[in-house]
Amino acid sequence: MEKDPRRSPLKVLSLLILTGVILVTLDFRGIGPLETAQEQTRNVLSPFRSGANWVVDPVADAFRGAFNYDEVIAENEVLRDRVAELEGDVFESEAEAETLERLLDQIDLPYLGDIETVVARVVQGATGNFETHVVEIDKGQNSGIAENMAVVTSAGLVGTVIRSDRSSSLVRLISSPQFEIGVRVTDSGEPGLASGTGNSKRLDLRFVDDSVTVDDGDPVVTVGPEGQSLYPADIPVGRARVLEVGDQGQPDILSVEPLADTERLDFVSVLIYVADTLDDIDGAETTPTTETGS
Amino acid sequence: MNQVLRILLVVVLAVVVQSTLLSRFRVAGVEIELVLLVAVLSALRAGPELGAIVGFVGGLLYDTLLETPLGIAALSFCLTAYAIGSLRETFGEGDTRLLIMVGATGTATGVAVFAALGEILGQSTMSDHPVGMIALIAGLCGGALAPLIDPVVRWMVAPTWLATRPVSAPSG
Repeated sequence: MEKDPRRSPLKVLSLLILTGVILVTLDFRGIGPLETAQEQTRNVLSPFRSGANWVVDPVADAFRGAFNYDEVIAENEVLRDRVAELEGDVFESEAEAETLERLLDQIDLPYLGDIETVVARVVQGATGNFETHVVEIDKGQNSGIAENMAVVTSAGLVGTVIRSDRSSSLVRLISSPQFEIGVRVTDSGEPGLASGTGNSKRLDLRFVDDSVTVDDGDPVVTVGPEGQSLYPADIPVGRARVLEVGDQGQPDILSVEPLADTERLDFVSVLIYVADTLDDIDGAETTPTTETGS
Repeated sequence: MNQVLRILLVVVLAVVVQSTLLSRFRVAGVEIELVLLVAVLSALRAGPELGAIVGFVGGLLYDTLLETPLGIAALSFCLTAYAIGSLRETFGEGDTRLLIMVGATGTATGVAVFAALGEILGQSTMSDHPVGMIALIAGLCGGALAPLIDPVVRWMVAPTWLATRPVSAPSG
């Protein structure tokens, strides 16, 4: 890089800061071409990152096995028993059994009905030090995945697609404080709003009618288009927990204990379903907020 | 190889390694900030201007992989590298101890600047995360890696042969 005598470091810095501020501003405004440029950049980087992950995968597995050995042993025991029940046979290879079990879990999701699904592998967790409760999966637009699609396991809802590139997608987990979804407590049929707390074992449950009694352990499912949600109805989310019984007119403090374990995800299913606009939803008059995915 | 190509090559490689290998092998849950370290060492070796440019380009590429608004990493890496580069005269070329110290301080500072910028822009980077601990661990890792990354950075920022070739005196 040849040095231009008219150029001073401070001028260069000013120019870079100005460019940075303009980019931040445009990004906040959601300017289309900028998003496309980001997507294209990720697509260009994607083969290199896939290659690097391909190299890293076996090392990561060995690393995990070495440092979480007891956990792996215990998990393998449970999985061996379950696979034996399913197949009437015990697989010789524990790794093979483990992988098959997780795949089988994704093939039969009885609560989904006719909704098309794409099974994807969780490649890695969040990139960066300030993004938690996000995972990257190895399927993207090429497989029909788009933003705001629900992501599930056999246990239930685990998150929503927040970014979809050509061959990978980013999923925000239900444990994220930025995650919100319309739900229904099945025994009472009462709708409410579940939101992530940063704790994978607990979602906050709010806006449930005070006059309705919610019992500890009541199943909680997605409310579906009837409740102006972008997701299909009746996806299991978790079980209601009454943290504190309200007295003197105060509402109960409720939470949801998620059914799916978002801390140990290998394979997930993405539901190829999203309501384009709330115009599609009966009785809805407003447009959806894609931020919350609810 | 042209200096610009070398910078692009190293920066892309750093982004790929950080977003794959280092993202999975975290130290106490903290991702090692390789891109930031490359920018800091560039500033130490080549001055504030080149350091800021490397920081901006690397940060911008890294930004595309993050969920935070585009430009936060670019701005924070660029500002940190510029500050380190501006202090270069004070440091001098230095030895390995200085390299480790600058690597650690620069990385920790960059992480803190990123968190502060993110918080200003409403990303809850400070309120939802233990920034001090993340900066400390990232700084320690940056310091430890600095002597290993330094030769690559030196190769990257070295002037091109054509640019440094002495101009021959006109004949006649």
